[in-house]
Amino acid sequence: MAIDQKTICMSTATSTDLAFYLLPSELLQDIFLRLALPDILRLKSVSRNLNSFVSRDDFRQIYDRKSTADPWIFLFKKRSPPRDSLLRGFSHRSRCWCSIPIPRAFHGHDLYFLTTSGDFFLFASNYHGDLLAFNLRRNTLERVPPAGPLGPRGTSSWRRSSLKLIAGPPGSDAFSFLFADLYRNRPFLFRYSSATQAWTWKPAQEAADDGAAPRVLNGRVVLSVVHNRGESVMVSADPAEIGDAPPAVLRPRFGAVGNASAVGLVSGSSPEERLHVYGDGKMVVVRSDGGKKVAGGRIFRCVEVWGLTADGRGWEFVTRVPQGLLERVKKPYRAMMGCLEERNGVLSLVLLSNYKGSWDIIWLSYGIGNGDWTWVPLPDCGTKDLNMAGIAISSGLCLLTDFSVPSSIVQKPARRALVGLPT
Amino acid sequence: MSESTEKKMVRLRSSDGEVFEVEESVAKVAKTLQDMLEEDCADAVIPITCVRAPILTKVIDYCKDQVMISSSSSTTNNPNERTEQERKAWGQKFMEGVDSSTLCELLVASNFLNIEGLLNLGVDKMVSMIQGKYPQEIRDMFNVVNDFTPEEEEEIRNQNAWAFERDPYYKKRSSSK
Repeated sequence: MAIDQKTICMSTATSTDLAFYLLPSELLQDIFLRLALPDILRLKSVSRNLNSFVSRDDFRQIYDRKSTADPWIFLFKKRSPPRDSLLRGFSHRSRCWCSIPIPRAFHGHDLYFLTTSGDFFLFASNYHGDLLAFNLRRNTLERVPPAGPLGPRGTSSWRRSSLKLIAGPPGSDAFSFLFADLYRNRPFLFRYSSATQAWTWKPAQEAADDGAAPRVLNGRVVLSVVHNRGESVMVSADPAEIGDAPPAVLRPRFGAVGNASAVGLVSGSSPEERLHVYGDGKMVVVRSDGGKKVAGGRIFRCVEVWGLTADGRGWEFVTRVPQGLLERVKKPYRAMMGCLEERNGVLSLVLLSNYKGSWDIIWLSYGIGNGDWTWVPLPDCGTKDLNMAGIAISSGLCLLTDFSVPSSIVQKPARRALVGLPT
Repeated sequence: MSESTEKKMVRLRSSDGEVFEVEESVAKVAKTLQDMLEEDCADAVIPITCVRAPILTKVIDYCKDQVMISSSSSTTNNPNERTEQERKAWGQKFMEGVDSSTLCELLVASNFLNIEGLLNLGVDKMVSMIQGKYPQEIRDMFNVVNDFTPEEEEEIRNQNAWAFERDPYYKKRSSSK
């Protein structure tokens, strides 16, 4: 009879010996694919069975395809003594923050966390004015010498929208680090390659007056140099050094946006406050009701995304956070800063606000293809005693050492760094 | 479908021999049973040989609920219809208190009976049980035996030492409970 053939007994297991690795493997795979990387790494040490399951090539390939694209938020919490300082990481697949202890070699430094990409975490050392790159997978540390003619830089000279760390090429355990800054009054692109352990620097070329060639090209990195009232100076550059077109100067004007203040903390007491957050050729404008309405705090009422126009000469409106979502996430704040990153068609926006000494982190993401905004609720990470020394959005963490090109954005820890422009 | 067929009863026998009589519409929530019932076997007791009675009870509860929400969905203003949020809350409540071995059996059952909604609930629950846990906690929860030598375990940990770092706030939370 048909029934008997179909009701195949899968297992005569009783409840006690039906351990979860006896589940059908496609089911187990579905479950594991939804776990964050630290969870998978811990599963490896549970038992031989689980270790071989998550070490299988087919599993790793499928997992990494997802995992590499996962955006992560990393925070650096400074503590005293320095050995208690921690990097905290969170992805939407996590349930809690993971903690990464900083290597022993870091203990003597006064560190600020600049940015991260793949396995690499880049810190600025305030004592020496140089940079330190920490490789999470290898647990190694690499000193990055001061950038050529600029010499040692204090941590306050770095601006998060002006730099980018790029892990890769795949399997190479190498990274390159790009930043844009003014040198001899001209926008320059500085590039460090860990493979050659050397800096190169080039002046960015101004667009010809006819503006024939579009300066924002697909796949190029866009770095901020200066954001003034009315006009920004940015540099676009090829992420790879080999065969790169020269870096180009972009001078988008804020015509459509009105008077724009510099990037940084909202301050002053005008009725409307605006915070501009830059990253990957996009700009987020956070408009807040100013003043003393909410016990001395402000409440943002509008968050808009603007993107560089194709010719890099202006900004065009992209989207705004739906009002309903804004109502759910908004909180009073006194100071706010943000990070912005675009990757794989997803825009990640992190707004970090402070109200009466307590930090609040809001993580919103926007799918450029489907137009959907989502809010990723974050578990508590001890924001009350948070001595923030850097926050970054990154991606590229995976089981294998093969990365595509991730990008990241950095935020300055010191208040003056957030409002100040480079000297 | 006519009313008379909707009221038709179906008998299911669990692996431990208990027989459950349910409405055909309830049984048909399980795709595997639906396929069988569409062949002519109305009088048979269908043996569900890999599902024990307590698990089958839970599965039937789920199926009954699905029939309840879908039965009046053709009428406007269905009082049983759930919003996305209510659906989530219902799912969480349904899975509340389900321990790891029951969960594994539920997963096997819903996989075998092909009940997508229940399978998703089970996977969600399983993911939330593993997230943030440390190896010994996982072993304890799922009765997994540690078959590594201490040296092997140490080596695997050292390869990815950062993933084993305890979150100080996680500790605080669990110790305060």
